Amino acid sequence: MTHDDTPVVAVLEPFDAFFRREYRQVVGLAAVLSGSLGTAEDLAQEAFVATLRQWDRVGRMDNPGAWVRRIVANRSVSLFRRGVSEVKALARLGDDHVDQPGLAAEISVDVWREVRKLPKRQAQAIVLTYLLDTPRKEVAEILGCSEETVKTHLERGRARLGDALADDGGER
Amino acid sequence: VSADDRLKKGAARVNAELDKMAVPASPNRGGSRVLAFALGAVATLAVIAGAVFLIGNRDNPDPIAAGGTTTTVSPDETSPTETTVVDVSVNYRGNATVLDDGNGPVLCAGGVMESYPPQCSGPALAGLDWADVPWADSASGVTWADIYLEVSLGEDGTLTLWGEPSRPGDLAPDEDVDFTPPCPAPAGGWVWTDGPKTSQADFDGAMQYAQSQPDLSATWVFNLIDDPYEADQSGRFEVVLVALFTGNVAEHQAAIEELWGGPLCVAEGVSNSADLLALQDELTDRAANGEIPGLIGFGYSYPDEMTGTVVLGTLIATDEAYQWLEANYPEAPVRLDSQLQPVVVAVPQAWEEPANYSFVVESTCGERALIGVFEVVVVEHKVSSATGRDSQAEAMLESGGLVFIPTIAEMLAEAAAAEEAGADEVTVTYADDGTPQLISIDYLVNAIDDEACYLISEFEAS
Repeated sequence: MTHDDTPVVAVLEPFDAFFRREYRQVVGLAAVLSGSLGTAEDLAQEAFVATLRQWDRVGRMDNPGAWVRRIVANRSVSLFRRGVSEVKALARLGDDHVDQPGLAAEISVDVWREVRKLPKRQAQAIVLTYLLDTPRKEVAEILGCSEETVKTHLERGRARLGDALADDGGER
Repeated sequence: VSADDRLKKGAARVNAELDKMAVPASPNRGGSRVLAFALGAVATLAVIAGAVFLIGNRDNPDPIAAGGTTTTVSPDETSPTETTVVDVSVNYRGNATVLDDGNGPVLCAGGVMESYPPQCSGPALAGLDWADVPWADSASGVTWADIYLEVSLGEDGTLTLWGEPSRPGDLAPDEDVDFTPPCPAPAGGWVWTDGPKTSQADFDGAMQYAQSQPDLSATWVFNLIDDPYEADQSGRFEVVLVALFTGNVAEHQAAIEELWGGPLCVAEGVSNSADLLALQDELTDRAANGEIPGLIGFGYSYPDEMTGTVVLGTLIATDEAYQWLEANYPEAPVRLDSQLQPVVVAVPQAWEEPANYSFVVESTCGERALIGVFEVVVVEHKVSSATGRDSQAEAMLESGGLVFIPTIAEMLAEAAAAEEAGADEVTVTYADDGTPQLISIDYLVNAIDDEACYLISEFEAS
């Protein structure tokens, strides 16, 4: 971000380039938070369509990726909480349009299962931080809170996870 | 093994799998899922993406040539933008009790049973994390709190918390109902004098008469002893009997005076009590059966006989509810008492853009193309020319920035689209003559530099 005196003409990146660059990470975020690959793809598509509708504005934001991640992070968790993803995932067995059994297996390991049980903000902060390697400042931007709050969510989330994972013992 | 290690390992494995994933076609390619509104944005994108003044250093590893050529930007090539601005006031805000008995949080509708723990019912509230409500109480597996919150209403009727919950504000004091008898006060005011026919039994008899009259409008008791506790303790019964009828006032007065010797006010009321009760019953049934659209969390009803109104109390009353009542009960005296109030964030009034006009816009916030003060001329709903009033504006125009300058209708459309996409704060204010004055959009309140704000002045239709 530049804050000198020269006017900054924000770049409007082509949407397709943005889409290709962000797609995998956004699906990953949704998959880990919702626990379902099929749902994750739908959520990602929805979020990108919403972003496209706004692209000439969102595209000029300092960080359009934060915008789309925010939509996806919130939707993934609320769908998961309502059990929708599980229902949808069952209905999809067999015709899941992502042919990625390895990915499906990885998002259902213990550690992510326990993450999904955490309070919403904790889960989001953890997945953004660990999975997408998002800097704390940006996590705060995505979650709409302060960096200090993100730190608290991370600490509490990790502590709870530590307890939960210790209870079940094994590595995976 | 620490949680940290497990997370890092898990993340690495998921990321390895993600890398193998094929990226589908971008939704940018004419998919039917892209709504009509997007067409304007896409067309604008095609023009701007290839334009020569793309300054900056955004990491752009995989550019596609949208249009592919350098584009001479003339206003004629910018897409037409919808000038009709949709009213999208979708959020509702206020104090509410939220309770979670283990089946997920609900917004209490129609009151809370003051047991311990309390009980209530109402529509589910999605998106609440009790960790964000440190003032919540908890007992026997039930968690509850009074919260000042804002919710969005989904098309399927789901309520989702919007933003962070906060501690409840001061509850609006109950409206003071004025029970003063609506009759001229007797000389010396409403005072009690003992006399014949002033016992409570006499009073009850007179009330019974009043309430059995077909043209009754309302009855109530005006207590002459201010403190109900004192009245109760002393056993003194000192009241004014108030009875309102829709007609035959003198006749009813005479009949009641036969039965009641105490202070009395008989006068003409607003509406027939039986009619009002029937209306209340009918509306209550329909509301409880879900026949009134747009009433979310219908909780109670009562006939307000003093004003001749049926009040329906609900958590949220949307425009749809008002429209339905207007269509189905155009004459009926019904008031909706909505606990949460709509947050009007989009465009509260229609403004018709003239084809040709000029205005001055000051655009100051955010890190965006349009910074500075511009004199703008609009011809046939399109920006035809602009002059910078300060050095920033001049510099931007010199580098070909004319295309970034929106018409007022485009600013309004941006506001409406931002609102629809869930921007945190969208404000549009109007000057006295109805011209938009301030249009301000903040997509993420806590993010810097994503805002847009336009201050419009010197508007002149030509």
